[in-house]
Amino acid sequence: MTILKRAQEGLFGALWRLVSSAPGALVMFCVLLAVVSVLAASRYLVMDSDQDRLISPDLPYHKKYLEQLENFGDQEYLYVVIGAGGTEEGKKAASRFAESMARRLRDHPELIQAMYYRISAKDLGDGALLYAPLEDAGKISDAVRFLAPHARKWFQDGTLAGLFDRMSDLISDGEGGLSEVEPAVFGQTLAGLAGLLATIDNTLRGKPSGDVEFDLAGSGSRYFFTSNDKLLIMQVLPNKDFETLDVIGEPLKAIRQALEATRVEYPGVRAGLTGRPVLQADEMQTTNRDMIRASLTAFLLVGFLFVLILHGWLRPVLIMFSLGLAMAWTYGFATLAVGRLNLLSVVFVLVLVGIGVEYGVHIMMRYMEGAKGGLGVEGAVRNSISRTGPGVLLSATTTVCAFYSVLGSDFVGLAELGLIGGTGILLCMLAMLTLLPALLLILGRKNLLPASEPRVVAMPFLERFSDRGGLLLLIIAGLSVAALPALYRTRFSYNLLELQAKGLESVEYERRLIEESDESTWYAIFTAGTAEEGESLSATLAGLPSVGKVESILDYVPEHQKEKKALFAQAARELENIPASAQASSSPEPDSLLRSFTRFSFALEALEEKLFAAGAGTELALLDRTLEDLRSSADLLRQDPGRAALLTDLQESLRREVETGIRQLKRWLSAESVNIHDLPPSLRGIYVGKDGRMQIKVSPKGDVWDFENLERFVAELRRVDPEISGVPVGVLEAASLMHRTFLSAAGLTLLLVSLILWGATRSLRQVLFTLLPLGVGMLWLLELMGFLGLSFNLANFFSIPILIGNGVDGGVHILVRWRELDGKGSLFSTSTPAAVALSFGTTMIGFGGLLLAHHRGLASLGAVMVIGSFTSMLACLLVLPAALKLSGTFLKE
Amino acid sequence: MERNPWMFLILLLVLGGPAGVSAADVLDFAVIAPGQPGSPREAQPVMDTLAAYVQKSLGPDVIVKGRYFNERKPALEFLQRTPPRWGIVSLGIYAEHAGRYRMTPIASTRPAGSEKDRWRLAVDRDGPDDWKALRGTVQGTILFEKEAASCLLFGSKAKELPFSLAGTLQPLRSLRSVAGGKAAGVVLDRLQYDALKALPLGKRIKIIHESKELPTTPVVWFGPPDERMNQLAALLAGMRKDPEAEGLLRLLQTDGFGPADPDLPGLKVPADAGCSP
Repeated sequence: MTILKRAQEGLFGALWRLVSSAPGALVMFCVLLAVVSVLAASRYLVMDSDQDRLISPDLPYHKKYLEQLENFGDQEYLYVVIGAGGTEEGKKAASRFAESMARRLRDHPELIQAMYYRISAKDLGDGALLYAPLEDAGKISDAVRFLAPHARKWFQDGTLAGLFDRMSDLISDGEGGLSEVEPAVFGQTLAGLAGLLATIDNTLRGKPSGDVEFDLAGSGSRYFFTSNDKLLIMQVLPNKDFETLDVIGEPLKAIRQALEATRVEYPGVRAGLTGRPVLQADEMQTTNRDMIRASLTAFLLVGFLFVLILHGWLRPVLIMFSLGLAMAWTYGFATLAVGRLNLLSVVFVLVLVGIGVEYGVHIMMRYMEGAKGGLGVEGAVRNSISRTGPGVLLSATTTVCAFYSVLGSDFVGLAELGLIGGTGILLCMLAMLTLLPALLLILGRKNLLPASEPRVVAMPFLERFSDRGGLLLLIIAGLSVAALPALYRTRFSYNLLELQAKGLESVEYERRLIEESDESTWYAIFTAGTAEEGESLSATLAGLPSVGKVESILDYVPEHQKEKKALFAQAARELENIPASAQASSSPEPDSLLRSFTRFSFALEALEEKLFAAGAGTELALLDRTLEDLRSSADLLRQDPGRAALLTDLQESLRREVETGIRQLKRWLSAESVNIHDLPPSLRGIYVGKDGRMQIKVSPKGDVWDFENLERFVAELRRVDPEISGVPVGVLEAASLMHRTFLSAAGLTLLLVSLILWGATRSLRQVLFTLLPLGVGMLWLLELMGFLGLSFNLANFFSIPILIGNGVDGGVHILVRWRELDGKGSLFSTSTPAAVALSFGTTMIGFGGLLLAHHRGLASLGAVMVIGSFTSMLACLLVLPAALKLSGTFLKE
Repeated sequence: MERNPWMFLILLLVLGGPAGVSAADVLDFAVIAPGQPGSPREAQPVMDTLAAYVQKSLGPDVIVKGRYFNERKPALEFLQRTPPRWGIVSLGIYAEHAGRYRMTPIASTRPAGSEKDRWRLAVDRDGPDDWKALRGTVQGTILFEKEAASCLLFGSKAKELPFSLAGTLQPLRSLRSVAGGKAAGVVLDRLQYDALKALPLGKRIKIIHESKELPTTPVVWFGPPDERMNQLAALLAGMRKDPEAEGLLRLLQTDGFGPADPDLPGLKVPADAGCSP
């Protein structure tokens, strides 16, 4: 007997003594430990949904990203994408939609940090006019020079009648007057005029109408349309709560409600929500819903399978109770060792349900086999510990290797899952080797265990396959070789958008943004210390083929400032003679008002003819209504001249507004040059960091979710600066890191498992036999995936370590039982093949529920797990026994 | 003999001046749109902008000046007295005077993007349904050339119509008169008809007759065609794609210029001849 064998017997002997001497106390201790674990977890274990903490902060690109996040603040926006159709009418409708949406969102300052969808003169400060193109600056200057004498004249009387006379002059004056303006430009002026005349008419009718406002500073808003004018983009920054699973749950709800209400208000406008946080939140929501559905389905089906195979409810309940306590201990361990659950490690429960339950199945099946064989309660329990225990220990150890192989990875999220999941498996094994036998002893001694025998303990019908092992292996080898071409059709897809559920609004609008504009919700970040550096960098970046858009605060620094200032200075001189305040006027005089109204109506009629000839129907209709109001006001004054007194307050308010407007205009015209430091804080907050450096946002051209596009984009940017960061870099690196980590974990697992198996058996032949079902099962999996057109992706790749663990488990149990039989008796007459089949069956059912998932990533994970478990099971039950039998015969010969 | 320096200077001016002028090609134009609102003085800045654009585009050896007319009489006097090289003329002017002033169509305007025009006779909604039953005076901005308008719209000579035709500078006011029962009808072009549909007034008016599709306002070359004509035609055709011409086209109220309408040569209606449109 080897030392290892003696140590093994000593270990399991001690376990039996522990379990049999005080099973009640052991159960009590296990329950107490579970209670303490759950209490500690509920008190101290936190949920951390911050994706930025899934990656090691020591990785250079991530370190840089985190530094920039700290420097420039969180800028992961939600994007409200509003269809504008590329037409003026569509743009107007989209702008109105955005304004309405913004009003609704402003009601939730506790949920919304900021939103950006337009920029107005107010946002740009006193230098607002410097933002006009040079050609327009000339027109502005000409317009001011033309208007100044009229304004000066009006300031001398300050009356309402005087204002209408001046406006009549403006319209009728030939050269430079309003009559020269193109019909398209009339719209805004006419809208203001229509508002004023409606106010006058209402006031004369005695209806309250409020003050007149010429909101010069709020005028000229420029909405954030895409360069082809097809979409209007609203960027919304929500308040984030990383202690909740969906991070932006509450703000997202409020934004979606606002969006829905605005859609009802503007049924003709198509709008939707997207952006990385929304996609993540939607993904979390769909996966959660899918997981709950899958878990319930799995629980019911596994329960049904247990009841069917193990007969009765008590035996399945004992396994599930032991599993439950092991899970509680794992929560306690996670609290103690890590203190948090991240977006990956939170799935450890599913892992334990899928894998941990198998150990209980093996112990229970062996117990029932012993009980059936007449060993009695004590003997059957002892037998299951000492005979099945080594297999359980070995298979648990090999499975743990798959999980622990990612420890120390830069993918912190995965490393934490490895630690918690791996330790959880060890705790499950411990529970199944101590708690479950103790429960069996307690209940067995009291004769409470059901006397009925399980329906399936052995699978003797499979014996005939292994009896013709040579032929079977030949057929299997032939089929496997024939299917090899399919192996090369299996691909790895990095496209994260293709993992999302179909029909999600956020996915649809992300696609729309990609297809209908050069915008992207992802951008890379460069930084520059000076304006010159920023300009040079922006020019270089804009010239790269994969770059769609380059944004920086420099975009907000106007060009040709010197020339524009010269033009404005000329215009400002014309305003110098206008006093700070207009002549204080007395009550409006009805006769002069009527004269002015009549003159103004003639001027408007002339204007109407001009619009009519130009076919400007919209403006003409507005002017027609304005004229109606003017005629109505004139009629009211004619009927009762005393009503003119009602306009006193309005005249005063108008005087103040014009004075304010002229003051504002003077400030704008005499503004100093605008440089980065003069820009409003709201803009600086986005583009300038705490350290004073400016960020340059670089958006990709085309579909960045396509991994090849993403790689090309990042590679081109890295040629400009190897240390760039941002979401595209993070996604590329994280996906590559995940791919590398899984591959290296798979390799390391195989190595460790082989070493452990060699240590346990000291036989290379047995190691190869144990790994045979895994190898064959994985080959078939890859071939089947090729046939079915199923690709590996960043969601289903997670199945590989689990399948390695399960495949090795099956091989270990079959091989241990084969060795135990030592040529005496048939393998398929024992409970082990049935237990192996049941274990794979529970895994298939557990993950099979995911096949119904809406989230395509989860559905593909379910598919790979079901196919992989099935092929591994077939390999364990058909290939390994046949190979073992053939090798035995061969050795004997 | 003592040389007189002033004489030298005068000689230089006399000899050099005309030589300098004659080296440049004068490419003056006229926009003749009887019935259109505004005045030549108001429109002159637009003419100057168009002239500057043409001059800049065709090179330094070209001198361009433009004139605008929205009244028939001074326009025809101008054509008689100082004929320009090219012009944008109303369809009525073209149809009646193309032969006399040797007009060759070189391009067509695109008002509101449209390649064709259509004229419509609008009357009060309670008025007759058949234009032959209409009596009184029918007005319109396009009725300053009565023979051309009568021929293109009704297929007969003006004096054979049961109503009289009169040009107006205020078609909207005329329409209101029609709706008020004070005038018989108004002839509208496509743009005016489209604008009318946006007004409440449109509901008080009905259309009882319309022309076949007609060419839009043409750009014409006066006199014998030459290489410069082809250059100008090419320049006008390219304006739509020239960002620098964007503002100018808006001022001219056309979405660029298209090729000359092939129907134009068949629309000449000499004042003393019969109508055969």
